[in-house]
Amino acid sequence: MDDFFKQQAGWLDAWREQQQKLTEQYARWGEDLTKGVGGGPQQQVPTNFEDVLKMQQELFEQFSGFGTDLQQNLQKLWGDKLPKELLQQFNFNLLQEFYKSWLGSMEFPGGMQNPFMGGQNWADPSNFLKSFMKQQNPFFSVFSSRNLVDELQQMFGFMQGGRAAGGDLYSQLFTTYQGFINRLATTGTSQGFDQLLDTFNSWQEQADKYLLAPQVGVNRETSQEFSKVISLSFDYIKSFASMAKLIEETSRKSGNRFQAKLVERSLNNEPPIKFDDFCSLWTKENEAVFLEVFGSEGYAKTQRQFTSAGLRLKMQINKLVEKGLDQTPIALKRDVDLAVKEITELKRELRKSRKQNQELMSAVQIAREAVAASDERFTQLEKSLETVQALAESADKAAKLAATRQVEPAGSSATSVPVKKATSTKRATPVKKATSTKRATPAKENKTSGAKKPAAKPTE
Amino acid sequence: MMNYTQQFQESMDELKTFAENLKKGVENLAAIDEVTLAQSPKELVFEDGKRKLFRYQARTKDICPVPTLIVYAMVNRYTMLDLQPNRSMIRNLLDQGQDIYLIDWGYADRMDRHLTMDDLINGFIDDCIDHICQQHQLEAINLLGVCQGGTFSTIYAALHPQKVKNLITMVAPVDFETNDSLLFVWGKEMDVDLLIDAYGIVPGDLMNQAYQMLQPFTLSVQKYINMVDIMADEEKLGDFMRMESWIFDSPDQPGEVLRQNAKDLFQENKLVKGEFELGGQIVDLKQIGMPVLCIYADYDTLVPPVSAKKLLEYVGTKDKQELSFPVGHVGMFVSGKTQATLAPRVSDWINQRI
Repeated sequence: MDDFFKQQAGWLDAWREQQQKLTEQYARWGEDLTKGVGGGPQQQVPTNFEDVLKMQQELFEQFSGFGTDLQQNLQKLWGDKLPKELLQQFNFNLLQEFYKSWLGSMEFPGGMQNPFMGGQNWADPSNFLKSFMKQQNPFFSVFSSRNLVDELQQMFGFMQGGRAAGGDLYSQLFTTYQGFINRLATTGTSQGFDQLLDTFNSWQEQADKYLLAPQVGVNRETSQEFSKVISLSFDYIKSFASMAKLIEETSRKSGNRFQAKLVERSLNNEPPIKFDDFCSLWTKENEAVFLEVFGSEGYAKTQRQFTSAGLRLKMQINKLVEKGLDQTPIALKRDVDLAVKEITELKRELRKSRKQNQELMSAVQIAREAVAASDERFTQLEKSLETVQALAESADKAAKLAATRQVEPAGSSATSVPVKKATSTKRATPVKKATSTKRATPAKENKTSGAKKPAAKPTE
Repeated sequence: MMNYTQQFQESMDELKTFAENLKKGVENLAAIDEVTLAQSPKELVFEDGKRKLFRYQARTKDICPVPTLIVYAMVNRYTMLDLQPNRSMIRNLLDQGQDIYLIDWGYADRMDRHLTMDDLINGFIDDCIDHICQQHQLEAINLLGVCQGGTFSTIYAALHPQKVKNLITMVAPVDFETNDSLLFVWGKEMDVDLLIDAYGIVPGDLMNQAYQMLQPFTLSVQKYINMVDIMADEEKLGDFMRMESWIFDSPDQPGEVLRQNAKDLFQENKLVKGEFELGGQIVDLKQIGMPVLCIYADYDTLVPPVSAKKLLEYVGTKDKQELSFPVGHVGMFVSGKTQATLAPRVSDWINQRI
């Protein structure tokens, strides 16, 4: 494959040299002929003129062949590697058109009409010669901006479903219709589409009248469903034709605008000689017209009719196909959808439960933390009480000792009683409560601590 | 006027360059093994089926204490935010010390046929935020929504304001009244019920074709003609191919999500009217009391600026700010100039509110 490209590059160089020679020949003729304009003696048309034009035609054909080969080889090499959309865009016909346009843009001196203008017969230069003799003013060639069929496929191919997932019966049917309508469109004009629309309307009326009428017999329901498919098909073709008409009109309008721009730039001595400039101009001028139409309410409505007709037909065909498969052990889309619906609902329930569970868990966590905090408080209190108890005991001892030392003879018990009282009341309740609840599990802690509170006192 | 020979010479030189570029370009294409995107290191931290939550590896020592969750759109892949090392909003935010989490919606299939916006917003986004809050022991985090993900984030912030510390929306449509975008015009006219009923899961390719029609000639033809000019440059060709890979990596759309999105938002504009309902609750944008940063692109043909910035008129907060860049929708994430300032400005805005 790499050899192919090297070969093509070499070939292009050779071809270029030949074209160079020819261009120089044209230039010399131009200069010679110019001498005959403005009062000078009328020059004769060069004797080898026809041969040279034929030679130019051959070069053009060679160049076109080069483009075609390039396209085919790219397809062979990259067909399975590059995205389909990208490959589709490598259209070397544009290169060929550019070449044609370049030849058409050559301005011959002395009012000599360019022999390479679009629509001229390459093999017959007599038209050129005649026009030369009449001294007509040349302009750029008429550049055919696009092929209508390509345009339709580019813009609306996606609607047929064939480019969407799966190549089902629906897609095949639509492709067939599209092929049919494309053949009509290729030869059609705007007026032609009007006529086609009339025809489709008439077909649909007939179909609705006879096919959708109540039917009898064992298979009447199936027959009715088939009839609906046919009726919807006509509806689809009809809407396709409406859309095609709109696109065709827009395409023509944008082509005219592009040509007008080419002429304008030529008159201003700014022809888009460079291929990049040429393409940019083509894109800019065409796109402006299309976007204006695309943004209109009329287009949005036509698009809705077209897509809706296609979708209704798709649904009806799906229905028929499912009906046909009903008695087979094949799971249908509608069965799968039902199962999926249930699974989705179960998942929602599961999520809901999980959330509730999480909320409960966090509530439990909060409760645990609260219990742990209160547990900690009890521990602190216990320690404090132990300290107080120790202090009380030592105070008790001190009091006893003091009493013994001071009033050995008196022997009064008045001082010891209040001390004892104080220690017994302060100490008892919390200490017992704390010990009884401290090590329990959090859930039990609440219950036990609450239940045992009143029972704590008597243990002292 | 240029003479014919000169004119021819220039044109032929250009054609020759074209052919040479093509030749070299094909060689370069052959050398590209696989186009890889989203290479910044990240860790899967939470998942629910095909929907995943990732945490990106920090790139600085000092990290913002409040992490940011990025919610991308479902109609394309989050890989746009981390296209390649020198074109990565995520990497830039990490370099600014932000702690980044990201939701990957995955590729929807028939199992997602009945998935709703409620499942995604009150379900998965909420789960992710709970997870992050728990991990960081926080009550609220930053939420950054991109495009449709921005709309989702806005709805979430209105329903769960206590969990959102700061809200950042990026090229996110909120007000659908405008007809400044063809998508808005077509969306209003489309028979959405029919589309969803017919497809169930709407093919991503169909959405892609609609996006291409926004600039039919530029995106279908001109782009590939321009491609030839850069094909000989391996690096530029790699950039182009990564972008191309992202553009056509469009997941299919769960029907019920698309139905509600198209009908309630595009067609009836319920969000700004205060009529949008989710999970049995009316979404009131006035509940958005946290600071809001609204970022939009001046030349956005997908989400018109007016649709994005209108958010600030409806939110309840007084701390609100808009930030715009002179780029298109995608340019926001791939333009070198924008990327140089976007992440630092977002990061500064967040840091001032932590």
